[in-house]
Amino acid sequence: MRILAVDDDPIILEILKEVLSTDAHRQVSVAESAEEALSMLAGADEQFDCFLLDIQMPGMDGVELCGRIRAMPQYARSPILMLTAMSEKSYIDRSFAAGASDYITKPFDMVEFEARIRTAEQIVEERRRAAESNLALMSLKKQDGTEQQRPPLSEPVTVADVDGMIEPLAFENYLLQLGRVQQFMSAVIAVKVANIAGIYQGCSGRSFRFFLEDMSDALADSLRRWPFLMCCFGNGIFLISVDRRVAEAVQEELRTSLPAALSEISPMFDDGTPIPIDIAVGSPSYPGLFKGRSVAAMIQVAIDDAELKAMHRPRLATKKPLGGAVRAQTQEERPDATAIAW
Amino acid sequence: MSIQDALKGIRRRYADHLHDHRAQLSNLVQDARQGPDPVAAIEQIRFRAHKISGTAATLGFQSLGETAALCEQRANVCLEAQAHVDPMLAVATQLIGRIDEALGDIG
Repeated sequence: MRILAVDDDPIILEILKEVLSTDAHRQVSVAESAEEALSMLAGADEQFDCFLLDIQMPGMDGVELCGRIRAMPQYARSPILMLTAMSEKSYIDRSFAAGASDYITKPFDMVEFEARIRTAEQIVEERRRAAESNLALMSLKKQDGTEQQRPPLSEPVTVADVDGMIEPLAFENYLLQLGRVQQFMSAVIAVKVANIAGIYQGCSGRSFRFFLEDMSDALADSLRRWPFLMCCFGNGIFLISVDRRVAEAVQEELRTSLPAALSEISPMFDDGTPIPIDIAVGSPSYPGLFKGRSVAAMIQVAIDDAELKAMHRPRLATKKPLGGAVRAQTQEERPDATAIAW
Repeated sequence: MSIQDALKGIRRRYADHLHDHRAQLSNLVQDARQGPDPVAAIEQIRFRAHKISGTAATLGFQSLGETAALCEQRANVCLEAQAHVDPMLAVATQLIGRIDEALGDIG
């Protein structure tokens, strides 16, 4: 794995280089500033696989550098780990919003540090394998003329260029990295597209990706009044993290303004017909302060609530069969394409 | 080579950085008390303390790292409130003492 570590402290760079190089499979390059890192990226013969970025550096800081790297198409999904002595929430929020995948505080706990790097390596390896199998599949499909591959419905999806949207793994890391009090001040809300199976059946790989992008845009538009982070978790679930003090207001806003935002965007099937969308907005899920509900449990509770709301609502009527696929049973007809449950 | 072995080698080189931090901090404490620009001196103390707090404990200097973190925190309070200079300088002086201890450990 090719790693680029950026820190203005030469001792930190030395520590990173020595520690990371204990594994012979890693090649570590270092830069003492964001500017130096960017010029290294511009002149690199071979792509880097992973980045370690200090936040507080003179000149361009690590958060801005993270955003710049993320904007490069070849690094849109590369693990970016932020390194900093600061654990204040605002820095964490800014880092994840800029596209960071994980966050490690200095001084380093070497066991934890190694574990994080190994996770990043696994991600890089899995993506490499996925890219290779996609390439093979695309080449096969090109030969027989079939359509572009569609990811499994249950697979978390990375949606780029939407405010507050981060990778699912980064979303979980973000919540894990918050201190206990900061975690206590957070809430997670799940939004479920109740008729996602039908939409998935009726879409090509391309139009399904557009649909997820449209959903993400509509959510970001509805949430613009508050700081938030969100991810596309798979199975039509979108997870949103907000401050617990505004969580109920956010839930209410999603109920009221999300349908309008979706109508305005008007997602479509490949043949140009509007996609009917049936939304369930879950209740906020909160961590406990003393009897600490884990982050995974907090997320699961949010998802379960949204799934439950999606199940216990009248099914959406649709007038047009989705590409010949088997459709959900119709119980009522609705004039508008978007419906919402709570 | 194990991680601990790798860090041992860096500990020895870290001594050079600590000598520099020590000399600079001593001057900055003086400047913060009597210099023409005490705010700039406190900002520099914070910067140095921040650097030390990020590295010291990683290299095994736990108490040096903790004192540096406290010094950074006090410097932040000091700069925000534009007051509480003496308690911050007391911690900065303590930090210099911890650097001496760490240099003694490195040998």
